[in-house]
Amino acid sequence: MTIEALRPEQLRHVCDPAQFSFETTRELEDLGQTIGQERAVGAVQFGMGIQRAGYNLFALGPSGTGKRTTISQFLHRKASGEPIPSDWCYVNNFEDNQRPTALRVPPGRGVELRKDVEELVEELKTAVPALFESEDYQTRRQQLQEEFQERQEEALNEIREKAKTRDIALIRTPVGLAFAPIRDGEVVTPDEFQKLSEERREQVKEDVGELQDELQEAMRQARQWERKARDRMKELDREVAMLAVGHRIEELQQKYADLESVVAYLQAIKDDVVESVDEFRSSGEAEGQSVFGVPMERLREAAFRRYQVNVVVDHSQSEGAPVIYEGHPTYNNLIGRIEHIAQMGALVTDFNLIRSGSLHRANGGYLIVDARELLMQPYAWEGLKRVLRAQEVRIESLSQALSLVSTVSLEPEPIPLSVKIVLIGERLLYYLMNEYDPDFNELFKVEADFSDEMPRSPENDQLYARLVAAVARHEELRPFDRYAVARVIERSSRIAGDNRKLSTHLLSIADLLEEADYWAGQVGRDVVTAEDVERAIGERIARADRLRQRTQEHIARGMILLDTEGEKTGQVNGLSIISLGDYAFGRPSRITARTRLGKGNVVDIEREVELGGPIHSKGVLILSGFLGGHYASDYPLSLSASLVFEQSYAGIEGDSASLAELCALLSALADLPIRQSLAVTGSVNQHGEVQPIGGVNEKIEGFFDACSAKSLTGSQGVLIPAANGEHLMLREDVVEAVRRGDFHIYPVSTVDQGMELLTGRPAGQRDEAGAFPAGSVNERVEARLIELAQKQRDFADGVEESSSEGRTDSDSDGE
Amino acid sequence: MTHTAEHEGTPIKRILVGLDASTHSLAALQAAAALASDLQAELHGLFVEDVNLLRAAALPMSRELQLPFGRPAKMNPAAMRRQLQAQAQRARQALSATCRRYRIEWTFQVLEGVVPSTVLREAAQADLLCLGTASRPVMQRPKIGSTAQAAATRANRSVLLISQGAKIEPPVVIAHDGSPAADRALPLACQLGRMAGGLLTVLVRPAPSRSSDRVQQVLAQRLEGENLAVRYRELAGEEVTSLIEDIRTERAGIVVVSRALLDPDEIHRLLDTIDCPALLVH
Repeated sequence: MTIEALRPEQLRHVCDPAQFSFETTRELEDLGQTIGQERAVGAVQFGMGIQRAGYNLFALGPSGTGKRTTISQFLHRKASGEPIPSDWCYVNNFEDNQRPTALRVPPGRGVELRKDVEELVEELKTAVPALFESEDYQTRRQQLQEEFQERQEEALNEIREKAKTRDIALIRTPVGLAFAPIRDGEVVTPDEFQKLSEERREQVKEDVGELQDELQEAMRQARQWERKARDRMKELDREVAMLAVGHRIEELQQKYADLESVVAYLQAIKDDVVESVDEFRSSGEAEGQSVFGVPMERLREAAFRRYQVNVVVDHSQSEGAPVIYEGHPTYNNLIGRIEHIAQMGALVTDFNLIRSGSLHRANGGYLIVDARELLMQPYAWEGLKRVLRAQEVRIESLSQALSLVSTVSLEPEPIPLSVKIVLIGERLLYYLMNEYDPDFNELFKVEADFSDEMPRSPENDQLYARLVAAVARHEELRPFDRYAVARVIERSSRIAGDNRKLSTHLLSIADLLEEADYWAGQVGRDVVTAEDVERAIGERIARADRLRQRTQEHIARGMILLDTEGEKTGQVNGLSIISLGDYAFGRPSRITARTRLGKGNVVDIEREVELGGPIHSKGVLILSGFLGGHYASDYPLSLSASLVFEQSYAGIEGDSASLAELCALLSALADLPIRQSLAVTGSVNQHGEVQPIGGVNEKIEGFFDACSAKSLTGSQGVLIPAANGEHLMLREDVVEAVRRGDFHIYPVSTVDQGMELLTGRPAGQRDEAGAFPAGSVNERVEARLIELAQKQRDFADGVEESSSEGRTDSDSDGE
Repeated sequence: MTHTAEHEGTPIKRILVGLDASTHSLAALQAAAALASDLQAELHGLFVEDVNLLRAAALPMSRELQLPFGRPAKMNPAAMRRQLQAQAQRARQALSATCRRYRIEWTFQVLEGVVPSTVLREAAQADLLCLGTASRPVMQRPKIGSTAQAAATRANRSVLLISQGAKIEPPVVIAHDGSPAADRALPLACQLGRMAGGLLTVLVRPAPSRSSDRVQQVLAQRLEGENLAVRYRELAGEEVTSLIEDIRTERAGIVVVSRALLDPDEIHRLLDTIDCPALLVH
C-alpha cells in the first residue's frame, strides 16, 4: 500500500479575499451580534427572561471569548427597555435608632426627599428658636411660672400670717423650715418659754403642731403644683414646637401623599421634633462651650443628623434597569457596609454611615460578577448566596457576623431584592462549583457555555469580516483591506487549531488587529494590509520564541542529537509540543527503543524516573497490548523493552508520541532501520489504529524548522494521524516547501502504514494461514517475538533441568 | 487701672460682705471682691450665727420640716450649732478663694446674734455693705430677705444688694434729681461705670425746684473728665413706678440710687421689682 503525501492545498485552508465584496472594512456595518456563540446567547436570553427564583446565570468559557462583552451588551439592550427601579433611603428609626428604617421611593425621589428634609431641618433651626424667643411665648411661660409661684406664695403667706396672729414665726433653718414662738420679733428663749403658763405652753405647742401640719400639707401641694406647672410648660413648649413644625411638615406630607411610608416617616420627624424641641431651642446658647473638647455646636449638629435622609440607591440619573459590573466583589462591596467615625476616642456610627453595595444598586436589574474574583474574596460567595436565598439584602458588618467585635452597631432594615446575577468564569470553575457546592445548582440554574471556536464557512467568513470592522471602529484602528481580513481569518483558524473552525477568542483577534494597525502605522499606511497582519503575527511569535530558537539552534549545532537523514534501527524522530503561556512550539526529539528477552513488559523510562505523566504511561502500556494482540496471541510475549525520549529533562505528558514509540519498538524488534528524515506524531490504540493528537501544526513546523536548519533534502517529512488532516493550518513557508517537493506530510491511519513509510518495506498482512508475508515488517517482528518466546522457553527448561538435577543430587546426598 | 472714688471725703477702704453660704450671698461676694479689687479696698466677711435658730432649736416642741419634701425632724441646739458652723466654714472658704483670685486682703468674722441687727451694727465699721437680696429663700422666687430689707432702709452706710446669678454689668444706671443727696451717689456710679465698660446712663428725675435740662447741664459739667460715655434720659414722672419702668427699659446692669431720693416703701418696691443689682447710696 502506498501512502500519498498531502497536497499543498490540504495543508492550509486559505481564505480567498475574492469572496469579499468590500475593499476595506470601512465599508462594512458593525456587527450587532455576537458571532459563534448561538448556544450561549440562547442561554443568556433564557436566563435573563425567566422570572423565577434561582434562575441566575453562569457564563462559562475560556477567558477572552467575549463573555463579559456579550452579556453586558445584551443586558444593556434589555435593561434599557425595562422600568427604572425604586430609590432606597435609610432613615432614622425614632423608636429604635439601632434599627434604621428602609424607605422605598419612586426613582429620583430619594434625592428630592433628602433635600426637602434638609431644608426642613435648616428652617426649624431658625424658626424654632425664634418662636421660643418671641414675646408671646416668654409671656405665656412667665405667666405659668408666676401662677405657680403665686399659688405657692399665697399658701405660705397664709400660714405665715396665721402663725403671726398666734405670735409664732416661720423661720428658715439651715436644712428646712420651722415654727417658733416669738416676742418682739425675736424667738423666745427656752427660759422664757418655761416661764410661760402651762396652759400657754400647751397652746403654743398645739399651735406649732397645727401649723407644721398645715405647712407640710402646703409643701406637698406645692410639689404637685410644681409638677403641674412643669407639665403645662412642657405642653406649652409642645404647642409652640407644633406651631413651628406642623405646617411645614404637613406641606411635605401632602407632597409625598402617594408614599405612605414617607408620610409616616415625616410624622415621626414631627413627633420627634416636638418631643426634643429643646435641641432646636438651644441653638446659639451654647456658643463657645465644649464637652471634652468637642464644641457644643458640633455636638448639636451631630444631633440633627438623625433627621437626615441617607439615599443609598439613587436612580435620578438612570435610564432603564441598572446593569452593574462589580469589579471588586468583596463582601462589603456586594452587601454594603456600615462605616464608623471616631468621636471622642470611640468609633460610633449611625444610619447616615450606611453605604450601599452593588447588590443594592443592581436591585431591579442585573449584576455581573467575575466568579474567580468572587471566590477569592473572603465570605463574599457565602454572603451572595445568603442574599439570593433570602431575596433581601441585610447589611451586616463582617466583623459582627463573625463575632470579631461586640460593639453596638446597626441592624438596618433589610431591603427586598429582585436581581439577576451573572457570574462569569472559566469552565473548570463552573464544574467545580457545580460539583462541590450544593447550593450552586439551586441559585445558578442557567449555564451559558461560551465556545472558543465556531464553524468556518463562507457565511461566517463574511461575519468575521464585520467583526474585524467592528473592532477596528470601536478601537479606532485603521480600516483593514480584504486581504488583511483574509489573513486574519486564516490566523483565526490557526488559533482554533482547526482549518474548519474559526477562533472566537476575541481577545486574541483584537490583539492581532491592534498590533497589525501599529505596524501599518509604522510604515505609514492608512489601511492595514495582509503584510501588516503577517508582520504582527511574525513579530508576536518572534517576541515569544526565544526558547524555540534556542532549541532549533541546539539541534543545528548537534547539541540535541537529531538525525534528519539516514537510517537507524530502534530510533525514530518523535515530536512534542512545548507551551509557554499563549505561545506553543513543536520540538523534535529522538525516541529510542531497546529490546531483550523478558517477561512481556515495556518499560517507560520516563515513568520510571517520574518524568512521564499518566497519559504518557497509558500510551506506552497500550503498546504491550498491541504487541500481544497483534503478534503474540498464541505464545507468551517474552519481550522486555525500554523506551525513552532522549535528551528530555522535563516532564512529558500526553500520548501523542505513542505511534513514534511503537515504530521505534517495532524497528528494534524487526531489526529494520527507520528513515531519520521523517518524524512521527500520533497516538495508537491496541489495534494499531492511529488516533488524532493536538498541536499538529506546531509539531510539523518544529520538525520542518529543524530540517531547514540543516538542509531540506526533499525526502523529509512528517507522519501525522490522518484524522488530523482537518487541523492543518501550516505556515506558508512549510506549505511552500511541500509545494516545491522539499517536505512531505503523510497522513497515516495505522501503524502498518507508518512502518511502511519509515522502513520502506511492506508491513504485511496475515494470509489465510495466518502468516505474514516473508520479509515484511510484521513477519520480522513476529519472528523475533517467537524467537524470544522460544528462548524464554529454552531458558525456563534449562533452569528446570538444572534445578531438578540439583534436587536429585541433594536427595542423594540426603540418602 | 484703678481709681479712687471720693465719697464725700470718705474713700471706700473697707467693704463688708454678709455671708450665709447661699447663692445670693455668693453673688454679693463676687461683686464685693470685684469692687474691692478696683478700689484697692479691704474685704471683710461676716457670718452671723442666727440666735433665733439656736433658740428655736432649744425649745421643747421644736421640729423642723426638712426641705425639699417636708420631712419632719426634731431639732436640737447642738446639731443646729454644728450646721451653722458648717455654713460659716463654707462661707469662709468661698471668701478665701474669691479674695485669692482677686488678690485682695480679707478678714472673716463669725458673730452670734439676730442677723439684721448684727449686720447693721457691723456695717457701721465699713464703708460699703454688700448683701445678697435674700438669704436661703423659702420659695423659688427670691424675695428681698429681712436682712437686705433692714440694710436697704436702715443701714447708715451705702448698701449693694445683688441676687443670685447677677453681677455688675453695663449699663450702669443712676437716678439723679440734681439734689446734693443724689450727687453723693455720683462718684460711686462713675466708678462702677468705668468698671463695667465706660457706659453710664443718667435717669434725670424732675424736681419742682430744678428743671431736667438744668440738672442735665450741671451733671454734664460734673461728669466731664470722668472718661465715661454718658446718656441722659428724663424720667416720665416722680413716682417710683416710672423709675422702675425706665430701669427695665434701659435694661440696666446695675442701678445706683441715693437712698434720700426714695422712702422706705419705695425702696422695697424698687428692690422687689427690678432684676439687676442695686447700690443704695447713703
